[in-house]
Amino acid sequence: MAENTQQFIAVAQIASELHHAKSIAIDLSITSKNARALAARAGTTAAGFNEITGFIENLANLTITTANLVNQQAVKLVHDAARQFRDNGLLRQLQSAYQHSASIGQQRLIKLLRQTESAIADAQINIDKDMNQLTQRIEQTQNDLRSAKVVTVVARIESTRASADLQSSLESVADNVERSSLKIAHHLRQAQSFLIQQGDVE
Amino acid sequence: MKTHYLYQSEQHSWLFFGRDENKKDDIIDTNQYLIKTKRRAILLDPGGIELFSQMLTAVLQHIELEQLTDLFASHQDPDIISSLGLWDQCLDNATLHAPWLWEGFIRHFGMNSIRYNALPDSGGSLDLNGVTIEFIPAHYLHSSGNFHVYDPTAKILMSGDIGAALDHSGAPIFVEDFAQHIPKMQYFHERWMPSNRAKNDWIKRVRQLDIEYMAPQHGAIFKGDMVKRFLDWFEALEVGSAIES
Ligand SMILES: [Fe+2]
Ligand SMILES: [Fe+2]
Repeated sequence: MAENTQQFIAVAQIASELHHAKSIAIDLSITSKNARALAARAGTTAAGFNEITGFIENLANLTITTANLVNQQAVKLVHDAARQFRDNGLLRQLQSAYQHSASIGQQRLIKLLRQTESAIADAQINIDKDMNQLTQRIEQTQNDLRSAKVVTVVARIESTRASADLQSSLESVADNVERSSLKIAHHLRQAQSFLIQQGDVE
Repeated sequence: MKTHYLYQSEQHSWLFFGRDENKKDDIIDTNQYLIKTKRRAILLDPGGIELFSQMLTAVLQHIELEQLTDLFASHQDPDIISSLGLWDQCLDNATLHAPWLWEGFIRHFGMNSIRYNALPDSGGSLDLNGVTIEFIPAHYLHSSGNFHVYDPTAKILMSGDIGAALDHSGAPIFVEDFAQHIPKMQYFHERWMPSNRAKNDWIKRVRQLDIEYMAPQHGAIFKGDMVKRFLDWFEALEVGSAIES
């Protein structure tokens, strides 16, 4: 029973980490829009600029899309886990009632008892499936984040070629992308560790 | 959990459940009542989460689970209805009759399959398989949206928190000595009941009912002459004691 409680809490924690990751990805998308504005100002003189904004935009969108998917899934998981948590509570009550009942009461209880047991088992199958998908999606986002490093490097190279006023803007774009991706990576790692913890419990 | 038949006829019967020996000391002892007919049954003030498995055990001793088609909550208190979320998981086709005022609040206990029959302030009635029971308004006694259940055939008034006494779980089911019973209920009524006006209005209406048993949600049941003695005592009592006059 304690296992189920831990699973329920772990899922809520994972959902919360992903929520953080998503809001940072939204910031990243704003950064990409700023970078595009910079590109427009720079006109055709900075050649590698469009590439950079393209990179950032893709990265931000990818992260937001994945985070959204993961979020939806986490919300469903929290819901399923909470339901199973409640069902487990009910099962304990039914078992206690069964124990204290005379045979007539036991006969009247048995159907409900079996129904509740199988609802819990079914829910567990769903939860496991969703947990696996969640693990895969988090790994995928982590891979996507690695390309953020490329963006930062390119932005920094471009900044050395650009005019003085653009230079600092470009550097701040690079800093932003770097910071955001580090933060997102941190939350994903946290989420992963909760996934592993609850996996250990099972 | 003790069980006692308050009334039995060809058509229906009233069962009392209470004085639970396994109850934890720090929760208030409660009485639950079941009215059962041949095909249907209603559980009045089903009780708290802490009591659920004992109640389920007791109820299934007397009826099939499918027979429990109705629940009643006199008001929104946890000792009345916090078990709702668990009953909701067990009953596929049941209706909860409770004050309209508390619908949005009571639903917080968890309601997915049970229907909510929102009782209007004026009250109402229910035909339970040919047996009519009435929902009598008892607002502000103590809850601002509050009902009692009256069965004119059995002459039983289930009076919720009115007539409640704080007693130990070994106490007798019926009031035996009224004078000795007063200290067990005086503070409860003075402090939990907020309105003298509501109290007097309720007494006036209840005096017109033919009552053999007045069955509260806590403590002993009033039988026969004890009902009148309670009404007289309650009429003379000043309530709303937390506000200094
Ligand atoms: Fe109450
Ligand atoms: Fe109560």
